[in-house]
Formats: sequence, structure tokens, C-alpha cells
Amino acid sequence: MTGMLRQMNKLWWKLLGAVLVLFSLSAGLLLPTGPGIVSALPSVAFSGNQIALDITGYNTHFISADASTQVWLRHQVPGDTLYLCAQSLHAEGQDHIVAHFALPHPMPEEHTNKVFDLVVNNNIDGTFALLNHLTIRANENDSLNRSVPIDNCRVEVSNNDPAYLSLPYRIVLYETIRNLFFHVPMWFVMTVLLLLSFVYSIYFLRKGAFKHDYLAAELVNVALLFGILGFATGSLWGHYTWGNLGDWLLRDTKVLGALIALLMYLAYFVLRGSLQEEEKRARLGAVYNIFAFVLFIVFIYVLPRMTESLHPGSGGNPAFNIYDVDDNMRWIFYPAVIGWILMGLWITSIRTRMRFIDARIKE
Amino acid sequence: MRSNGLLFIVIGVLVIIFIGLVLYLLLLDRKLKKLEQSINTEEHE
Repeated sequence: MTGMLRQMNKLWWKLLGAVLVLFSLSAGLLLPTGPGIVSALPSVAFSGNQIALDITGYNTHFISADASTQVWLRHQVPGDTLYLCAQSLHAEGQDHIVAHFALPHPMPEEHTNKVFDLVVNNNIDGTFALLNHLTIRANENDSLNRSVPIDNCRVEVSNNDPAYLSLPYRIVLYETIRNLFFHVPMWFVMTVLLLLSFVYSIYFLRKGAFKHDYLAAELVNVALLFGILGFATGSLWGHYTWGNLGDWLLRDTKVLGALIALLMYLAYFVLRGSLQEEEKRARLGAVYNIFAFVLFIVFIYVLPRMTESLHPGSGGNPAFNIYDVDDNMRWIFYPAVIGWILMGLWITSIRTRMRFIDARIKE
Repeated sequence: MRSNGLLFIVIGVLVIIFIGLVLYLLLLDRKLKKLEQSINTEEHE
């Protein structure tokens, strides 16, 4: 750990940080999001009818995928899944396709008046779906006396993933899923810098060398910068995805915890600024810092897991559950986190070295 | 497609980070200037 002071003049890790951030910025912006279904009309149909399902896709390739596209409806009950395949397809654009179905009549009891999933597959986009979308009602029109047999088609799919590198398509998030690479690392930087500051405060109390106190104070300073950036970026992101800022900002446990943590560390500088004597300032500051870090962990990482929060990792769930499935995201997310941590340490090292010069002038 | 894909929020987030870093660097620059001035006055004494 004391190695950090020795590494402050070295260049390699600063350049590494810059390269990693640059990589995460480019990859995080350039990779397309995967395919999805924005809408499909109608959403209600009657058994025995011919329907033309008008499907609007997102980042889909209906024209390019041509004849490989398959569209089917699916309803699952335990032990029995009913598949209804489209009889003909008409691609009107890369993101627009019309699927024609002849719905059976009468429908089996367990599949009547139920909501079907709409599933699409082709050799470019893989498999994607609009879950719980189309309700098929029993047709009670007396003039319909013919019966349409069930063509319980077999769906054969070889490629579930898109044939190109992509980020997952998620409703509500859409393109903002990229903010995982920009908003979340801010909090990781804050946490790591505060952890290091906590360690150097303990060092200071044990050995009494002021260089450790300076480093601890500057680490908190830069951690606050990243905390404020995390807060500001999260407010913008949440305003457009979770809904109006005022509805959740001061009600979400994790946001509240973050706000308290920021204020707590602002108070650390107020405390230091109010003490004139250097020895006293360093000692009290170190003790305060140690307690503050323990509270920080409780507010940001423990309490939100035990209560409700809009953030992933709440209510006992593991954090990053929804992202963990996707390897492409991991390969951008981890470099982003490491890169931003190194950038944070770079700024810290500049501030700390300035502090050392300041101390030498005052001697 | 761009507006319903909410890409502008991603750009907004990057702009916030950039502006935040620039403001912070400006403050750091001012601090460094003070440090330089204190060295200069010491040399003149």
C-alpha cells in the first residue's frame, strides 16, 4: 500500500488509465444494441380469424435476413406449450415486417383467452421476443361454423444470439444501457478512493507521518468529485428512464445513501478547515475518516440491499444481476472501471504532490 | 429512432462528466497558481 506514494511519479499507470477509458468510450458508444420488438398490432385477436400482425422492430434486419426470418406465437402452460407459426411474412423494411396468421378454432381450453408471446428469429438477429403481447379470445360469432385445425408447428432455431457484437436490448433503457460504462464507474472510483483514504488514515494514526494524512485528504477530495459526477449523471439517466426526478430522487434508498455520504465527506473538509493546528487536524481528520468510511459502506452497499430500491442489487438481489449474463458488456465495463480508477488516482497524485511542495515551502 | 432510443441521454451523461472534470481542473489550476506565487514571493525575500 505504501507503494502508492512511490508510484506517484511513474507514467505507465496513468497512460494505461487513459487507454482503458478511451477504449470503454469508443466501444461503449460504437457497439450497436441488439434487436428487439417495439410494438406489434393488433394486441387482441379472435380464434378462427386471419390476422396480419404488424411488427415494428428495433435494430432488426428483416430485409437482409430475408427468408430466414420466422415468426411465431407461443403460450406456455406447465407441460404443454402451444406454438402458432406465421403462414407468410412480408418484410416492408429492416425494422418493419407483417406476419400473417390463421388462428385455430376452437382453441384448446387451457390456451383460450390467454396472452401469447410474440417470438421472432432470423439468421442475423438471433431470437428476440415481445413477451405477453397478443391475447387470443374465443370467437363467439355464430356465423363461424367452420373449424380451423391447430397447426402446432415445430420451431427450429439454431442461433439465439445475434450474429454481430451487440449490447442487450432492454425496454425502458434502450440505448441508455451504455450508461453502465459511464455512470456506474463513477461510484466505483469513489468507493476505491475512499477505501484507500481509509487505509492511509489508519497508517497515519499508527505511524504519524504527515504524508499519509495529505494523501488521505486528497483521496477524499477526488472521491467527492467522482461522487458528484455519479450523482449528476444518475439524476439525468433516472429522469428519463425511472420517471420524473422528483418522484424518486429523495425516496430511493441508494440515492439517499449516496447523498448522505456526500454530505458526510463534505463535513470532513469543514472539520479539517476549522482546525488550525496541523497535528490536531490530521488526527481528528483521520479518526473522522475511518468512521465515515464504515458509514459510507453501510449507506451505499448494505442498507439498499436490505430495502427497496430502483437500483440493481436491492432487496437481497445480487448487484449487476441483469448485466452479468452479457459477456460483451463485461468486456467494456471492467476496463471502464479500472481506467476511471486510474484516472482518479492520477488526479489525486497531482494534488498530493502539490501538497508536498506546499508543505516544504511552509517549513 | 435516435430520440426514442434515448441516445441523447448517453451524450448528456458524457457531457456532464466532461464539464465536471474541466471545472475541477480549473479549480486545481487556480490552486497551483497560488502555490507558484508563494514560491515566487519567497524567492524575492
